[in-house]
Amino acid sequence: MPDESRHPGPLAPEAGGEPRVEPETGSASLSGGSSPQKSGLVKYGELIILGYNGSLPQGDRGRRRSKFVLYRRQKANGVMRSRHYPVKTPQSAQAIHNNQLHSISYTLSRHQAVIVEYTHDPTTDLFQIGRSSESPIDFVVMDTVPGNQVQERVNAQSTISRFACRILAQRDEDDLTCRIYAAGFDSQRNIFLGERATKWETGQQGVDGLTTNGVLIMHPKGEFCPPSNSASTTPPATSKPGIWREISVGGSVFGLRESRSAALQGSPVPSESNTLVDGTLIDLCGATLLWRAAHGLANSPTPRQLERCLDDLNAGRPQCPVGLHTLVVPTRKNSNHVAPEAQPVVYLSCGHVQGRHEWGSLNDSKGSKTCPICLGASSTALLMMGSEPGFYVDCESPDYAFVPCGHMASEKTVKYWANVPIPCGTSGFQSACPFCAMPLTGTPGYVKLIFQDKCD
Amino acid sequence: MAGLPRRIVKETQRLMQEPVPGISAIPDDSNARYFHVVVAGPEGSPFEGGVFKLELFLPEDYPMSAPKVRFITKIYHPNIDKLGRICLDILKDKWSPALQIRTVLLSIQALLSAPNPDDPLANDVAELWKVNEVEAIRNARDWTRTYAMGN
Repeated sequence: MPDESRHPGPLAPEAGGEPRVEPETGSASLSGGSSPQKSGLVKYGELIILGYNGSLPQGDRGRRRSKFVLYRRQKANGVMRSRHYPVKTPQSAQAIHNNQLHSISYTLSRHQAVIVEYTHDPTTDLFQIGRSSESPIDFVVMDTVPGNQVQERVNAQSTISRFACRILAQRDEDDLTCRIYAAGFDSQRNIFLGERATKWETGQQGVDGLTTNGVLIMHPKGEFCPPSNSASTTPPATSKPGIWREISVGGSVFGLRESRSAALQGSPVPSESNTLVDGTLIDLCGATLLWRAAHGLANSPTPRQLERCLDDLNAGRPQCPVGLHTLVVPTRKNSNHVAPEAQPVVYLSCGHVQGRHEWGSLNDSKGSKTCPICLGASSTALLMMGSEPGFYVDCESPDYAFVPCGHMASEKTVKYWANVPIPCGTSGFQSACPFCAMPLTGTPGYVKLIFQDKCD
Repeated sequence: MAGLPRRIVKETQRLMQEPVPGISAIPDDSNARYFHVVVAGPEGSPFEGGVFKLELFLPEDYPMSAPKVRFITKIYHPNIDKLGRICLDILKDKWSPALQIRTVLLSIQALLSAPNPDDPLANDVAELWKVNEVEAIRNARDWTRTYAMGN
């Protein structure tokens, strides 16, 4: 068993939906009542894996879950760079064998390596993310399978590094800056960059490098989820996706390599930094994480707000124009109680929402049907609420759905994500539904929903 | 009637509770799928003042296929033939299960207001409607008076 006390992670969400943790014990707090603020917890933010709608399909357990909340630790566990020195063989270096000492070893050639030692930093907290279930990993991230599916082949090749990246968070309440770095320390508190990894010497006789598949980040342009100011007449400016960059082991910013694991690093981008901002995306090659800073999350809808939106919609008793029965848009909570005929279906070309029926099949390869309302040909999807609040860029009602999966979200939210290129393959990009990771199809990749309130 | 689909029950209830102005549709006592329909000739049309009887039948797979509707009262109209059959796209290839008895009857009422001689069913009527509309309308009025008033 990993030593949970040394690496407290966020644990099971409490009844209210807000996961929290008691850093001292690392044990789940399932009791309601006092909020993290009240109990003295300082929240840095949340890391949410794209492709899950509030939890993993097999359920959230321990450090393996769909999102990870970073709280200030009871005791600082951050590290900072101290000295570095060349060695002939890193395996023989004392720092490598000292399990109390964090170190990064850059193998430059067969008989030449540089070791950078790290010492305890009382001003920062360290959080590590990767595929490994070993104790140094706070947030275990596996490859995302689109469509809220569980990976079928257990031993499928993963492209995510076991110790993929690390985040250092400033413990100062007035400055909770979080910075990201490629690679994480293993159980021996070492990071090894082997002979074949991309690395180079830096100005002050230091070294830096990239991990095999790299850690890419994308900061949004503008505020990801601006405060909704009802007093103001001008709508808050919407953010736009930025440009994907690569982060080095030392935390510097580079342009993308020619392909994902090419040997040559991209050009340095000194004007940009590895400081996470609200809405920064982190791509680990196999899974993409969204960083939501605590202050940004305060502008996002709460799970209750989203539920209320849906309750309002269902209270309008939308009808199936064919069966003339009432439809119920399911949430994760009530999905088991919604009768099959009440499950709404959206016609993805026109947005008309109806119940399930067999009329209008066109017998083509895509399973298209004729929409009974507008007689247009369209593929269809079961309508499902986008329940993960962190993916919303505003608190408006979920009047739109992604195509082809049918996950509902607000207008600005679908428009934002339809414009976000998510890295896929060795050098490709593809926009996807954040709630299930299905690549969006067609243009624009979303549709405005049209409900029938009264069928006449 | 047992085994009547919920949709038909709902449509029937609404037709009774909130009837369409100028239209009545009442299910037959012995067959809930057979409706006795009466449509008032629309104001401003040559059919004004007339009361037209129709029969409407919901086939087994309704609403997946269209209702069968026929005029019982004789009518002089380019899109309705001697047997009362109606040339209306939504009763044929433009049928959709999102349409209802109500919408079908409204469409028939609209057809009385706006005859379409370019898509005829009664060829002789349509022909006259095109070459001599005044005479055609006069015929329609005569037929309305003869067949659709008071008897």
